[in-house]
Amino acid sequence: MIGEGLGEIAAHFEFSGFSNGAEIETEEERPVTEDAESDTDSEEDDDSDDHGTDYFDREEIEVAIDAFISHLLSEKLIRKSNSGKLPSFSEVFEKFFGKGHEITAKAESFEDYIKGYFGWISPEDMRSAHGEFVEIQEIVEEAEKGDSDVAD
Amino acid sequence: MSRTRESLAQIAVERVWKLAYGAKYFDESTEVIVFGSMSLGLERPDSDIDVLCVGSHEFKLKTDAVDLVGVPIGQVGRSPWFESELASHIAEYGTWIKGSSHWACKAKIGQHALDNKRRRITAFLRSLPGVWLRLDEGFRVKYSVKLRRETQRLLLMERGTPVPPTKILDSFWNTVSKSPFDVHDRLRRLTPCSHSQFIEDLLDRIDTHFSAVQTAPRHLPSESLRRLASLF
Repeated sequence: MIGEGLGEIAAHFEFSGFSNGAEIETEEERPVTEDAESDTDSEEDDDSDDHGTDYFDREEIEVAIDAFISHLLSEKLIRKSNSGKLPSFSEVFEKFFGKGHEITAKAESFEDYIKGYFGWISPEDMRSAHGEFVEIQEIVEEAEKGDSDVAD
Repeated sequence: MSRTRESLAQIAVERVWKLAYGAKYFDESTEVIVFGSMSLGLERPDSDIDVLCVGSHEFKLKTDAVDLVGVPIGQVGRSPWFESELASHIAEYGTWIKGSSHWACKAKIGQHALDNKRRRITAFLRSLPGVWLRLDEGFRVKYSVKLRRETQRLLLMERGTPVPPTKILDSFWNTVSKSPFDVHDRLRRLTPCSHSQFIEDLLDRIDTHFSAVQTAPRHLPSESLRRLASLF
């Protein structure tokens, strides 16, 4: 069921031009958004902060992660803390697999890559985040397959 | 109640000194500034203290007690810094506890800060409608608060007004807003028409917040009120 929830994040990566084992789409292939257009029109002359259309919005992946956590909550796989606090992405894996498990480390590394800078995630960080995400999916898939084999 | 520069310095020192290498952050900085709710006397008992250190490194360090931001000295002399949302906030509401505010007069919200705020709001409005009904109620509350505050900030920034501490946005919006419907109008304009169910629910939540605030007893410290009155 964690794997099912991860579909929320996988869908976001696919929309952003990533799919498992595939490279990022070129700029021409990606849908041009309003943001990208307004960014191109920016008169900012300092190129250090000039992000082209290859950059990704941190906000969109934040929403996808929250949809993933919502799925786990609705399936009653996780619970809110007594104070109502919701777990982070890596805390979910820590709960299921333990702090020392490689999937928890990958989830923490994923969170680092998508931190972004003033809301922007670079193509390199997005690619690395996607790499970690694919491996997380594979580990979850294996674990869930193992569980169902035991049940059979 | 507004705090004096000395009492803010005392709180900042007490809390930052508890961090690993805490003293070093202050010693190596040419300017140390307290900003955010505590600088204006609007903090809650559990509020952290926001501190900017102008020194040799860029860093961010956040604990329950302190939110420490480091900006390199070379950066504060350049336009990307003094045209940022944070710089204009600090220039207006910050209290210098070390060094002087030599760059504060240059602080003015720039086009890049406006573009970035619009980009952020639009990114949320683009991705939320598709998952809104699947999100846990806690997340729906989180995003309705976030979108309200970010839209309030955008509206102020478009007027060239430094963004005040969040408490002002949450509890005293009627003192700074030009129209009671400005947040609604902007969110409606930024949301595609096809997402009417999402936007109606979002606006209902924002209405509920504003209605609750209007009926709640409120008190803004007189010093804060004077500073706000001079701005809006």
